[in-house]
Amino acid sequence: MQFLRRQLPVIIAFVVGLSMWVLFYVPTQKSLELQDGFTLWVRIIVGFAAVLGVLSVVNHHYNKIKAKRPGYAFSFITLGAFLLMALSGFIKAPLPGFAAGNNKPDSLHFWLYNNMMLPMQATMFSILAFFIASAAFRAFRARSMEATVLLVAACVTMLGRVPLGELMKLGDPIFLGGPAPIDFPWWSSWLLNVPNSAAQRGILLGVYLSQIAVAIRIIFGIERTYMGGGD
Amino acid sequence: MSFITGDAAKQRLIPLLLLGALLLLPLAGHGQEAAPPEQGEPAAAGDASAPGTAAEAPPPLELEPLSSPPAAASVSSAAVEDVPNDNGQALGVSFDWAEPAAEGVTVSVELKPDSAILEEFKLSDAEQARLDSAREKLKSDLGSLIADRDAKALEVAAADEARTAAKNVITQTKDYAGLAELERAYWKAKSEMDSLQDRIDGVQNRFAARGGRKLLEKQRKYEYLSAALAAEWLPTDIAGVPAAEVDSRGAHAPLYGREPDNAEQPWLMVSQILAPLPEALAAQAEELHSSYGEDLAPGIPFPLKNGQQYQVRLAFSGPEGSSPALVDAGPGTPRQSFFKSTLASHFIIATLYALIILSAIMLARRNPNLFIRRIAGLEAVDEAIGRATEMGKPVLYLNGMDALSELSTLSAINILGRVSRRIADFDSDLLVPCRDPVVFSVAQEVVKQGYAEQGRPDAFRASNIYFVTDDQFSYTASVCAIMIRERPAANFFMGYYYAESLLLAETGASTGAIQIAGTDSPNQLPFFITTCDYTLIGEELYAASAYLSREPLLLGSLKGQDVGKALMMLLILLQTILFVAQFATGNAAGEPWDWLVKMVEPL
Repeated sequence: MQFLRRQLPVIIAFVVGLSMWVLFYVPTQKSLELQDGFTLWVRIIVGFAAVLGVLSVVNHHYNKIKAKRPGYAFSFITLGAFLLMALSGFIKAPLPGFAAGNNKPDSLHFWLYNNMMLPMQATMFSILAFFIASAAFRAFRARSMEATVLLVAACVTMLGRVPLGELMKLGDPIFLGGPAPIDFPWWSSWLLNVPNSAAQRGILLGVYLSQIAVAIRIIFGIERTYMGGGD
Repeated sequence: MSFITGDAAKQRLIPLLLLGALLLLPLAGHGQEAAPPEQGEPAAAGDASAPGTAAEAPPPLELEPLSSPPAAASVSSAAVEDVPNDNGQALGVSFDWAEPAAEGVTVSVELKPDSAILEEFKLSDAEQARLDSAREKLKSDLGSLIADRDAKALEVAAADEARTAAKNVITQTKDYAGLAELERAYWKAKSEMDSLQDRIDGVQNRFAARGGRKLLEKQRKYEYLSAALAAEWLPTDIAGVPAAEVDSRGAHAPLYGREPDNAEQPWLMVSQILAPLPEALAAQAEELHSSYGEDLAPGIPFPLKNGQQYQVRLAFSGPEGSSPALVDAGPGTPRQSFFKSTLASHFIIATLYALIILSAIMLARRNPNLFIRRIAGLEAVDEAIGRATEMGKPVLYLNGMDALSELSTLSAINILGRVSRRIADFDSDLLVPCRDPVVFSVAQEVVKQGYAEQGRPDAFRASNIYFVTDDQFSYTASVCAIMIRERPAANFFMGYYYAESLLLAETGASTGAIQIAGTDSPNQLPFFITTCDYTLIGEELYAASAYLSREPLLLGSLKGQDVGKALMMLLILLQTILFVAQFATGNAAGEPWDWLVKMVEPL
């Protein structure tokens, strides 16, 4: 049992991890087929895990209703909506105004998705605009040198991206062919392409090197927390 | 307990494995392409030593007799070569214009394969019997379903037309009852058609389940290909390419991993032959459709086969439909490479980096007292959990939006393991809503283990780690609702996030929770920095597990990372200096550092 829980997963991680690394450099047909095979296995595992997910959702909300925890009324709605979507997907009987079958563009299932799911998703996404405003207000308060630089950079970038900023061009070019002191589109592009890109690349370089290190730790069984195992 | 580093015997495995990895290096030469032929030389197909290739029997350049009207283009030489760094399913065809191509000239590549390629698709007697039986059953099951469905489809189209016409004039006619009647007629017909289609799909699925579909596909491939082979020369995926749009070999430099020789030479890559619908089958098309529901494809593409020799010729067509001028390019054999030479430098660097990290890990075993700089966000973990305990509120932990196959999610899970042990120590509540069912299963197991290791298995509540939904904004809405209802005192946002990052973090900030985020998504970092108390930036997310555990082996890997990073910085600096030097000398070839430039350039 201990072998199955601890050592076998590490052996599998080692063999598969190393194989995938080597296969990345081998372009043969067999290598490609093997890589496709691994991808297929992942899809199969995800398929099984989806059943666990559904059970978890139902169990979580059932317990919430049973214990009458705060907000349990929402659990009724969740379970009801879950049931409705599932039934509309499984039942083939035609309903008035909807196409028969469960996988047709005019079916109830698709109608529910297009007229309920999508508007609700769009609503959540649109709230982002207001959240950005409040976050920007907090970030742009010039309380320190860094915050002031951020404020100035943000103002230049925003002005460079709107038509008004394009009209505000003042002064002669600082150097031959260079920008004017006030040329928001140019400075905005410069901010994005030079300091911003440099910082992002620095972060990403660290991320990629770290990812390789984590992969090595996992392949060689040094990092095993993700298996639920200790040391 | 460690698999690799646990005892001395197993430790010996590491150098052996590394040695094995290094032994792979010599393979780098195997897949390299043969040198492109010199202009005017006969065809040289791929590996010069391979039997049956052009190098063995160089055919003379043969211009086939031109039919009248005269040839559309004049070509001085043509050759076939293997495509480097591929899986052996493509051939490169190069040629040289003797004079500039006239306007409107198009180029096609035609292949003559050996009839041996048919063998792969030939059904055995047993397979043929199985197919015949399955098709017989399919025919009897379908009965008149196809004809009924087709008739109903016509009825649906007519009903749709009628209701659309009525809708267009409804403001004038005001005949709403008539329109409702037409709508009912449309939906009734559509419902009946869908029902028929479902029955057809069911029958077809049963045919596929009996293995009939695969066998039928195999048989059709055989029939298409055998008919095409009778015509000798088969069209390919390179057909009717305007002369002006023919790529040069240099345009395919990524295949070579460097600027190839003869970079300016016109070069076409063929990867498929196309077998058109045979006439004999086309004559049966109606019968096959009505009896078996089978719709014949106008043509079937066949990828070139590794190790199979093909005769290649170029066809140049003129602008006014003149007969094509045919140029024999000789035989060619696609061969698969065993190592992507384009990734040789990548492989060397990755191996070197892996060695550095493994060495650092081994050094850390000898000297466990390693200094790791303070990471404020991780120092605050205890503070956040302590605050939650004091307030009697739960801790909310999110693993990001990606699947477990992403390393950022794995790192988030690793941190969750460490955090759950602290939470078990502090006797606080932990909520982990998950977006991915696999992540949910793993997170539940990791937290359970964390509680067990701290001697508090009784405090673990499986119901606190649950799957919510895999829909991005539904998940966000749910987590925001949890923040508002449960009022967690500490929120952890670890892993990769998308547009929802600000929605989550801003909602958390509005509830007054102490927030610690960690992400490697550069686009979401500003939002977390703005709204969270502490943010782990990029690589800090991956260092967190080691930092929290303080295990020498894990800390050793961090040291290895630092060495790797220093090496990378040196390489970048070196590359910059070399390019500046090259620029200063006017890119003159033959400089003493040219070899270094060539080595560093692909990095």
